[in-house]
Amino acid sequence: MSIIITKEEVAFQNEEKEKRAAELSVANKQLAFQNKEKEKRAAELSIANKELAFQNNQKEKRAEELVVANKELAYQNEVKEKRAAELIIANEELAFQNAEKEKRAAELSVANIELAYQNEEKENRAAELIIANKELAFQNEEKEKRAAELSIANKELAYQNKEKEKRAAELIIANKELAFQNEEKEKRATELIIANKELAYQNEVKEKRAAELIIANEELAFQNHEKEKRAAELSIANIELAYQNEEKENRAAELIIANKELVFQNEEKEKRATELVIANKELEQFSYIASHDLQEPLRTVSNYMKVFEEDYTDVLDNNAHKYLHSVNSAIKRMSLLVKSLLDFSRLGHNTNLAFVDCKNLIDVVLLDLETMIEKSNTLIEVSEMPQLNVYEIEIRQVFQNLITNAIKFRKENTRPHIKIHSEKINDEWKFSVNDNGIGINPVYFERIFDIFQRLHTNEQYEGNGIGLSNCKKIIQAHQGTIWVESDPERGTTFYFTIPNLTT
Amino acid sequence: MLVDDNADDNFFHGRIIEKSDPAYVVVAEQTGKDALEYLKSEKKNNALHPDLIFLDINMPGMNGWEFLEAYDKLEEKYKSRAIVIMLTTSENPDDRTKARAMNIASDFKTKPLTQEMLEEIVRKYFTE
Repeated sequence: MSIIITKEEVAFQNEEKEKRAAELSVANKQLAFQNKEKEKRAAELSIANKELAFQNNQKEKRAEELVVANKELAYQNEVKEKRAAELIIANEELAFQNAEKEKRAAELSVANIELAYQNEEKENRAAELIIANKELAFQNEEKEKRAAELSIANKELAYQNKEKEKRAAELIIANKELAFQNEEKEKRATELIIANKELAYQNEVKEKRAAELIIANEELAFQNHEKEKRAAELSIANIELAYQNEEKENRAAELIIANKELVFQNEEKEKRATELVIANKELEQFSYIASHDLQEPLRTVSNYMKVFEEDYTDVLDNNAHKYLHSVNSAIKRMSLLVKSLLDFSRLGHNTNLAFVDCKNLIDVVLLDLETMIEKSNTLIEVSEMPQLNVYEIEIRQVFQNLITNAIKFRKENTRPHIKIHSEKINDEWKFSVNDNGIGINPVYFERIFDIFQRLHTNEQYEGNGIGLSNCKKIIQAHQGTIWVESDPERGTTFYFTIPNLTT
Repeated sequence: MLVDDNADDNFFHGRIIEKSDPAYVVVAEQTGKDALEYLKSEKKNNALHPDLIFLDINMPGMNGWEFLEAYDKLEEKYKSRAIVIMLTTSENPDDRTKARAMNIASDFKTKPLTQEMLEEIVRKYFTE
């Protein structure tokens, strides 16, 4: 700023200073008023000051007290701050340590689990090791045993070795002996050639036999020849073989003979069997035809006897009548026999089974025998009867024969009582006809079933000895059996069985 | 008329018939052929047509069956309207069946012929 001030400038500045002095006089006046106001105000303020000064005093006292208290607090603060600082540090230290411990604890927990697992593993392993140990101990034991055995075996082998060595030494001696024997055998061989010729001669004899025994012998003769050749070389062995050969030939010859014999016997038996079958059939046929054809001349004789009696009765004397009567009764018997024989041979010709109610069948038989039953006052009981497949006419004949017999052979002065019974046993029916008659001696139990066998004379009991043999044949045709049990005291029971036959 | 190769049987059967009624005339032939011849030439010995023929089965040459067939084929004028009855020893049920099947013979009887049999036959076949 330039300090050069021009005149105009000083003039203007004078003007301005006057203006300013006027304004300043106004302002002075205002200020004088304001001064007065301010003096009033100052008086008021002085009072207020004094008040304030008092208050200040009070406050200063209080302040001083507070200062002391403050200082006290400040000190305490300081102490506390120090302590706090120390505590913070200590806290931080502890926090750090805590964190460290937690970390460690976590690590330890992991480590613990790990250890626990390892522990378990080790226990398992320990258990396994104990088992393995036991196994090893057992194996050890076994190996020791085996070792002991091997040691024994070793000793045994050593002993055998020694034995073998001994034997070898003996064999060497034996060998020498054999060599000597060989020489002897060669000498013997020349002798055997002569013997061989003898054998050759025998061979010729055998060849003759061989011709009879065909191929087998030729083969053996050839073998013989071969063996004779070898015999010259092998001396003793040959004699043995020649002997064996002879034995075998003998045996072979015997076997061939025995075989032929057996074949022959077999053939014979087969022949015989077929012959028997044929003979049986022929016999059946024969007896049928024979008994049938026998009837005719018999009837003729009988008829002529009747005619003779009729036409010449007046010229015959008593003796002649007696003779005629004997001839007639003989013819009657023979006629009965021939008829029975015919019945017997006819059995087995029927091949048709029929399903029959045995109850009905017996009723028919009883009806046929009505007169006989009434005359003898016989009581007859029939139990339950089955229905089954039978040769009807034949079975009826069986019942008729057995019932007739039971009535015929009744005890004197005893009412005849016949019980007819049946029962099922397994697959077959067993029938029985029981009476209270005179009974049969057990000696005759078999014989009564043979044809024409009788235990009584015609005078005692009529009959032709064919009834029971018929029964037997009929029951056999049903593949059943018939037998008798009897006791003179209690009577007789005939039993027979009939199996389930299929038509 | 009796047709049976067994002369003895013819004799006895004829006797039975004649004894039964002396009015009966018995003609006996031992072969079927002779019996047929008789039937065809009845006039020559003035005999009658038979009313009853007893016929055996087992006969040499023409047997009973063959006789029945030939008899069946006879011309009506020769054929007597006789009752034919088989009278044989055969008890073979087949023969009985066969006789029934042929339906020419009226009956089938087993030898020997008896008085009773004859009476029964007469009663059965000749009573009007």
